Amino acid sequence: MSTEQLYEKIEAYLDRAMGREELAAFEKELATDQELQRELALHRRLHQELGKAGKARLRKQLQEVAAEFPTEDPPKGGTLGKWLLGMALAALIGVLAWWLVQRAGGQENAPAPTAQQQDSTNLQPAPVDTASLPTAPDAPLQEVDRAASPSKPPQPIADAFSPNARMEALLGAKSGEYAITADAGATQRPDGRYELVIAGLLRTPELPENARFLLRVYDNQALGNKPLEEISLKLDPVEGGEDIYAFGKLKNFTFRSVLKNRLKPGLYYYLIIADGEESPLFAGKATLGRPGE
Amino acid sequence: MDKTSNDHLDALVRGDQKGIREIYQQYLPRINRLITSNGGNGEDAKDVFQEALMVVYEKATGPDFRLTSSLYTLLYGVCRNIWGNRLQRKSRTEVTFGDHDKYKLSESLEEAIEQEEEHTVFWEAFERLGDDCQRLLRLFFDKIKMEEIAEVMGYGSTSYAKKRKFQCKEQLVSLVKSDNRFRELRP
Repeated sequence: MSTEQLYEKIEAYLDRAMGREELAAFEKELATDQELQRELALHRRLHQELGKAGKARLRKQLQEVAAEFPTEDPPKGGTLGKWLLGMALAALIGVLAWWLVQRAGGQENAPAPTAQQQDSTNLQPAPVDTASLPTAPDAPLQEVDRAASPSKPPQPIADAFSPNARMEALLGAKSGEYAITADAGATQRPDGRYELVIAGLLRTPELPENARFLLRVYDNQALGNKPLEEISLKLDPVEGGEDIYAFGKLKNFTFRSVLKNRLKPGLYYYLIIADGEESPLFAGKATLGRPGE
Repeated sequence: MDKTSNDHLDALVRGDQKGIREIYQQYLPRINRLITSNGGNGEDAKDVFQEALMVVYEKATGPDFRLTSSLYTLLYGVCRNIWGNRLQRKSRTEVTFGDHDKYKLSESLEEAIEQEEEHTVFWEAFERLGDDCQRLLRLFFDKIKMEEIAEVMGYGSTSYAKKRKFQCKEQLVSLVKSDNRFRELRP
């Protein structure tokens, strides 16, 4: 049974829309199949909860109101206890460093890897490849684009919400050995810009160790095929790993990327490509805000 | 109970923006102190506060609910419980706050909190879907017929609407299942 058929059965059962025979067969299966019991229970709870229109409205409202209030973090440094702990740690690191330097002294001129150095490298955030994160394309960037490819003058699109024919054509992209579904979600920040999140699922019989997937996000102009942002996807294996309903076994991975750029209202496209490949595995679009906002 | 408490509760149930803003104004700073002095940050405080408001909403719209303390005492107790649960899951040890029995919650309220923790996972997964999926599933969960959904969404055919509904729901389910909190709630 495919996942789609499974869902249909579960929904028919929850809606009491099964014929007598079908119902008997389903209940018989249900009595012994724990996986099916769990799946049914999850769908029942999802339907019950997400069917509450009042809660959907209230959540939105609470989020809007919460955004009006400052997010107040505790003061850095904290209490005396924390301060003392910090001092004790610093002293310990100092002693350790001194000991390492003493031990390495006289052997080589090369500096010994002191505890302090190791500690500070651990605390450094991973270096960000700024070259792959171009800033939002405002006028100067577009001019550079035009200058770079004089042979193909891009047709500027009337406004930020009009579709881009070239991008639209990619939307039905087939993903071959990787089945990808992705969706965009956005939250509006107090400054009116949007934080865009692309989340989804990748399924594949086998994920090569060196496989790397890139998420590229474009505005509706997509000038010079230049993405606003490129992010390397971080794939998290779904526990249990295998999709037991699909034909054959597929491994499931989820991904979720938050764009660093805050986006203006408009139409955006996003592509997921395997690193080094040309054609996208998945293409999607997201409209942020409404025209005229 | 005092008038403000009941007014605020009323605003929450009716979704009155002005009243809700007052609720945040009056109570959030104190909840913020509770959370930030127990290992959380401002974002955690807002998060916990929202979940607590959803618990109170859920209770207040159910049968037989009556405020027996001030709304603040109730909210504080619920927030304290939610944050305690989160810390407990993180550290896997019993967490106790060094404060009063005044905030001890009824069993039915503790149960409501546990349910709401799962509901939060559901809603957050739902909100991570794209606009199209959210609109479609909203209609689907409202038990609108597929034919009508196809028309409202401008899909052209019922079979496409069904296909799309499946895709969206599958993604929703996978987002829920891959959420650590869901796994911890339902081992």
